[in-house]
Amino acid sequence: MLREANWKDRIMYALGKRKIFRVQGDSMLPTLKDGDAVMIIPTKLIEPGDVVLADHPYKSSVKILKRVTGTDGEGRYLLTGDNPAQSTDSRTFGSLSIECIQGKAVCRMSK
Amino acid sequence: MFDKWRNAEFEIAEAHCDGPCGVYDPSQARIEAESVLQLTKKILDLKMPDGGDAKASAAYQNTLTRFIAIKEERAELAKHHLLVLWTDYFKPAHLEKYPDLHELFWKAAKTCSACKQEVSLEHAQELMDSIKRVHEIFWETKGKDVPWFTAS
Repeated sequence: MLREANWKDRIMYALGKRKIFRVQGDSMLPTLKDGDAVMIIPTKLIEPGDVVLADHPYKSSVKILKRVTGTDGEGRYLLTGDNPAQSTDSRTFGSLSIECIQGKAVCRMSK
Repeated sequence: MFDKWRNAEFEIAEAHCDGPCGVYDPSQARIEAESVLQLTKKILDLKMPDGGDAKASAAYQNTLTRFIAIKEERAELAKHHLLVLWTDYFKPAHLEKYPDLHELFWKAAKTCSACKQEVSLEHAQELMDSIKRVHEIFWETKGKDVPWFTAS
């Protein structure tokens, strides 16, 4: 579950400490729905359970939003959609290195 | 101010299936399986010419060979389309709802091979029946009521 953004989040965004992305797709339902805006803290400090923004491993210009569900034997991250029936994720493209992780979602602004 | 942010243009973060999602359709396998069924019928109905007529014999063998080659090719395509659905479209969440899914695809793929090895109306029809079940499950997962139909 991601909380709704509050005024502190907005100040942090205004100060350039956070980035906002528009969610496209249903793979993160019910946490995030298509059209929601999500605030991201740029960080590499993530852990299982976090919703993260990551570079798509095979499409250089595409960023994806998934939940960290674990790590593989080599410390790479396994990402899965909260709505696995409609998600392409680590089950298809495998684990991701930390270099692919761009940040962690902290709150949302529902559509 | 909040509404302004809600509707503002932001960079896109994708949270969906990759491109192929949405263009999966068991119809691809169904069309190939229908061809297998029709070719099996044609092979069984083909009349062997009387001995001694070299021209008729050549025509017969040419036709039979074509039927067999196309049946082989279409059965392989049916198997390919089934495997794509099985491995790329269906996810573990579907398996929870349809626990016989693996068995269904495994048997359907095996039936494709049987249709290549034999000239069996029974197996060709069995393949159609399996694909019909895949069709039903597939569209249920999509939440759409798509009736089963055949082209032939």
